[in-house]
Amino acid sequence: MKRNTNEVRGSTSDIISNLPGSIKETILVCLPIQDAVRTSVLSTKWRYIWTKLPQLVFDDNFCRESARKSKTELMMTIYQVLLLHRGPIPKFILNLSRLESCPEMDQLILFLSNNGIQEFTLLIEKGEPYKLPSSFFSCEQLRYLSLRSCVFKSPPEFKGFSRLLKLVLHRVFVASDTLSSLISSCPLLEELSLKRSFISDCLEINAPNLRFLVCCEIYGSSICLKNTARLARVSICYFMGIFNVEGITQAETSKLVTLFGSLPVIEFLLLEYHTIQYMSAGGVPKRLPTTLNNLKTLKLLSICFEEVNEISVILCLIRSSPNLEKITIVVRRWETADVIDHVLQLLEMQDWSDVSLNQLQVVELGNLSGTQSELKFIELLLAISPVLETMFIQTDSERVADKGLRILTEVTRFPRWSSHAEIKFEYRDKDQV
Amino acid sequence: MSSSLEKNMLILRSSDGEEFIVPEVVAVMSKAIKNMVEDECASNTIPVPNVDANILAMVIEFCKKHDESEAEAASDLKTFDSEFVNRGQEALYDLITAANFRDVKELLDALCQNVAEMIKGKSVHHIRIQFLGYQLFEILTSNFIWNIWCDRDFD
Repeated sequence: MKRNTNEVRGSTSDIISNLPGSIKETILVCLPIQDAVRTSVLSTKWRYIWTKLPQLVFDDNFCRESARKSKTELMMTIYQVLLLHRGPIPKFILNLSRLESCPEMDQLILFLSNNGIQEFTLLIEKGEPYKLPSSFFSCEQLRYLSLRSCVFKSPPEFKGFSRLLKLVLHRVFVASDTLSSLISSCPLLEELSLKRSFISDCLEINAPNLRFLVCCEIYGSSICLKNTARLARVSICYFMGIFNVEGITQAETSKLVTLFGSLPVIEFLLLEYHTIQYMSAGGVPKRLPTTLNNLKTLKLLSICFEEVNEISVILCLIRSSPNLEKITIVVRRWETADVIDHVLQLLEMQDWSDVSLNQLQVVELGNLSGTQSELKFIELLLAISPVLETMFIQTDSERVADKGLRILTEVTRFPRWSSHAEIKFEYRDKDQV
Repeated sequence: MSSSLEKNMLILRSSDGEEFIVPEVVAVMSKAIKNMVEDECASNTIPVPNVDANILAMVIEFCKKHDESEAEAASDLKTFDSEFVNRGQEALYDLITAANFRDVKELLDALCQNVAEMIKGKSVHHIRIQFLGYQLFEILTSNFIWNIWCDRDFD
């Protein structure tokens, strides 16, 4: 065989042209469209390979002149490529920063809907939000959909995307009931990501196969989790509204208890203080009635160690998650120092003798200023974590004097249950940032 | 009878007759070998025709690294991949053929990415010299696409 390949190379030393067509295709998929099209003039063996490419990616790198082209020129180039392309286009990405939303996109989507589109990404940067045409709603093969700056208004006969696995909506204008029914009519949906959207009424998330949920910068009334027993990764950031679980509206029920009751297999949780403060409404129990046995990673952003509400939610989550492997907390600035006592009391009063985080290996604490309650919290974590490997502490340089030496001295004094726990300390200078 | 240690090991024999003892988890990263093992048509020694000892050793090195570093940072693995595939064209061709024939997806992807990097941004002229030898008679000057993008390369 070795001899054979050498013979093939022969005088031309042509190595890549003799590769099987499927491999040439894999190589071309890794290239920007311009380079892929260019290979058609290499030799007859390459001439038509690119025309059967299963994916077309029109982003800012698709050709070198794309940054200088006008909207019309860009559309012309896209049309030319589509005219020469043969066969189905399962994957199509349109993400050109210079391309404004325009009516010509309707024809593009019509073309794609007739060519077996399965993975569709349409990210619009400039111009008015783009109103999706009716042909979009007939793309029944869709498995992956990502939209930015679009208006999603489905026709009455729209039955959902029955094969959709992943849905990403960024700055998409959609009525809450439309979105609710879209989600519930995609029975296979595993990933849902909503960013910078406004929800006018209650958004109902009814998705029995959902594994990942991201809600970021959502403004609106409420989100209601219904039938989400498989949710494993949840990230909720800057959610200005109410997070709800079906059937629970009375304020006297603890929101925290009902929310986590509907997330039995959660593995990864990222929260930010708005959500945490909301969760503290209706009272925070010492421990959740359902143990979060699968929770491995807990990330909490913009936390204030002087806010009793926030800290009590965090303590409740830590108590209820015996298998945590990693905790990350980033602190936000807080000017008044009057209420510190409450948190300190909370931390000192609670009995932690029955709690141990037997899997906890990594703790990351960012933006610390070394308040009493922060130090108390560090002491607590060191005392209940037998296999802790690293505690990473980074300080807020504007609020910490003496390069954080006081914090470091205090922290190294605390007893550690884990004999090989390492404390990594980072002081970032204002000038260096 | 094979002992418990040997139970998880397989012997791969290259086209030129050299034998390699490899953990089964590593060997089955090749889908072709995996199918043979699952169908129980693999005896003690699995022949790997068309792949010589030199290339087979490289493929095994790649699979071992990928098997070990599942928990490692993805960026480390990426660095390893890009260094691993950075080879002369002959080895590259043989590796691609082996990865394709034995169906080792990770390796094939890394190799194809590498070839793509070699083509990316280069002029047609340059690619011809690099890969094809310079064969002027094959230039298709009448090609439509040529007129759109490719003629600039010779400016």
